[in-house]
Amino acid sequence: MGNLESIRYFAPEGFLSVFIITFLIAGLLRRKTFSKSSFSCIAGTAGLFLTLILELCINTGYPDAIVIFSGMLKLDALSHLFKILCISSSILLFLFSYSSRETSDSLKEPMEYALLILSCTLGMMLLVSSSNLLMMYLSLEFLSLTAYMLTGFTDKNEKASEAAMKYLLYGGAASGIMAYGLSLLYGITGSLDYSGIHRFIAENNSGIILYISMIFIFTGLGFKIAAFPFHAWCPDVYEGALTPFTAFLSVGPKAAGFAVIIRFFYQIFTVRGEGDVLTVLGSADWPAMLAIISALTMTFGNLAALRQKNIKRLLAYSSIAHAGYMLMAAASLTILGIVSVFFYLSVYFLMNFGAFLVVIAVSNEFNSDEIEDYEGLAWKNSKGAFLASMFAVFLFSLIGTPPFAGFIGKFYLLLSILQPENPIYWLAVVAVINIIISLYYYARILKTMFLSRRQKGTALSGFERGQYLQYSLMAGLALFSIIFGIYWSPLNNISMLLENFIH
Amino acid sequence: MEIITLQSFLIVSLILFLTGLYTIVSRKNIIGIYMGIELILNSSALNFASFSRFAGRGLEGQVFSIFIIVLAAAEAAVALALLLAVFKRQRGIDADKLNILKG
Repeated sequence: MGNLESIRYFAPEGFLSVFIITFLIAGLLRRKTFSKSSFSCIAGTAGLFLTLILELCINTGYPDAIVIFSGMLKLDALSHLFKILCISSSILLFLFSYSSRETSDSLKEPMEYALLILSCTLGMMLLVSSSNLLMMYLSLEFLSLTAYMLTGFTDKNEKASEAAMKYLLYGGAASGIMAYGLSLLYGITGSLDYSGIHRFIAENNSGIILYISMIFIFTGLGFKIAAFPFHAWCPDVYEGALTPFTAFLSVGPKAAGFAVIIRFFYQIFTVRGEGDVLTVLGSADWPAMLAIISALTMTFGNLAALRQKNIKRLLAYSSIAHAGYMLMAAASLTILGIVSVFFYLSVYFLMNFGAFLVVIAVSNEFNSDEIEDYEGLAWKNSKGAFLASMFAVFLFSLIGTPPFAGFIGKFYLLLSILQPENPIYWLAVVAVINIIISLYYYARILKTMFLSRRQKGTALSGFERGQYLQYSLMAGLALFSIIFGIYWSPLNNISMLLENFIH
Repeated sequence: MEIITLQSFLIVSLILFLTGLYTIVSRKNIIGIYMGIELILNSSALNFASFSRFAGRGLEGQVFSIFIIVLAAAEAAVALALLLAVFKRQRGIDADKLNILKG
């Protein structure tokens, strides 16, 4: 589709771009109004809500995919669903920042903070719909650059700038290697367009060099989702960044990264044959590569999480492990695999944001993220009991016990690699062992909160009037994690839209 | 017969790439590490331009290499800003001193 006709379908991103520019100019003209963090957060949330509504109204994207801007972006069920997930996670980031004392204390320029979050959202929206190597690389870098800045946004604590520096060095190296891989892929196939590459690989035999370029490209993509050999930035950045942004990093950009991985591998290197059986196209056996990386990722994440003392660091390693579980389904080479990745991501959205919100609430009280400060939290007062029980819901969901949503998510992930057309039994065994290992460190937090009656450290304040947004968000996320654990068919129906995404 | 072929460009870019990787791994100075990243980016830009010129692949590759140059500049701006923040705290830019976060 040509450029002029495409603009109509580009409305959500277009609106967000115009909103960002207006926000910037208005922020410069009315510095005083925008320097109140409540105003900036509310304005940013309003903009994202309008974008979300536009996205829901305009781009249905299915059953037929729409290719806009001469093949640069592709609007289909994958981009639609992941865009909704990314925009919602940015909205939650605004609400979390608003309710976190740590964030509002350390923000000198809330206008710029809001601006960076909005740009980050735009980057994710472009990333999930890109179907051209150039567009994919540019939006990946767009997302990364804003994420580096948001990580090092505050200069109040010295951890933030160190974390941002590490993030940037690892990210720069990963994206450079990825660019080299992209250039090799371009050299082999002579096209930057996904469909052009697909056509070339279907017709020609390309040897080992395709495998090499694929590994190089996966360096960049794996960095975004913090897969095993490229995970080193993850714990440091999660510990150093402001907690609301940490929560966002573990869901939004990770979802965008998975969307790109699915689109890249399933749209270029896969053919859909008779009876919906997917087969690998070309000489490179990428499902095996993803399966090995996923096994390493989950094992490493879970083993490293065992000895963590800082709750943010522990959740960082747990998010590495969860990326491993999801990568397992992406490696399954089945349509159910794609569906279950989205299903798990939306469940993960609920439980991980919820867990981080409890961390924010506790660090508002104690100014600390150490696990030992959670000791006896449940017995301190009614608010402590509330926080501890909410945390218990989210942790049980992260472990994957019924009747919480995490169980259904993990069930689908395991089901997808045991499909008759392409079963990977060893990976299923590894995953189950890993789930059992993860039980230990999650249960350790629960034990600290509930089983110890020692009243250690500072006392807890009661429920505060100004924090009702936080409590209701927490309760809402917990409620949905329970509802989707009992009655998950609405979420399943939505995820099933992804069925027709490969033609 | 042309003396400079696609192969010579690819060899130069491979050497650049490997030099960049070695620089990233071996340097202690943050700016040194960043220079390694720039070398890798430039090697891929060279790759794109030469594939586009010699293999008759249209202009897409050259557009990509221009974008890589732009991106490298944008990333350098962010990197230097963060570097200033690190320098103000530590009075130095030694990568080994970035050791508050670990474990």
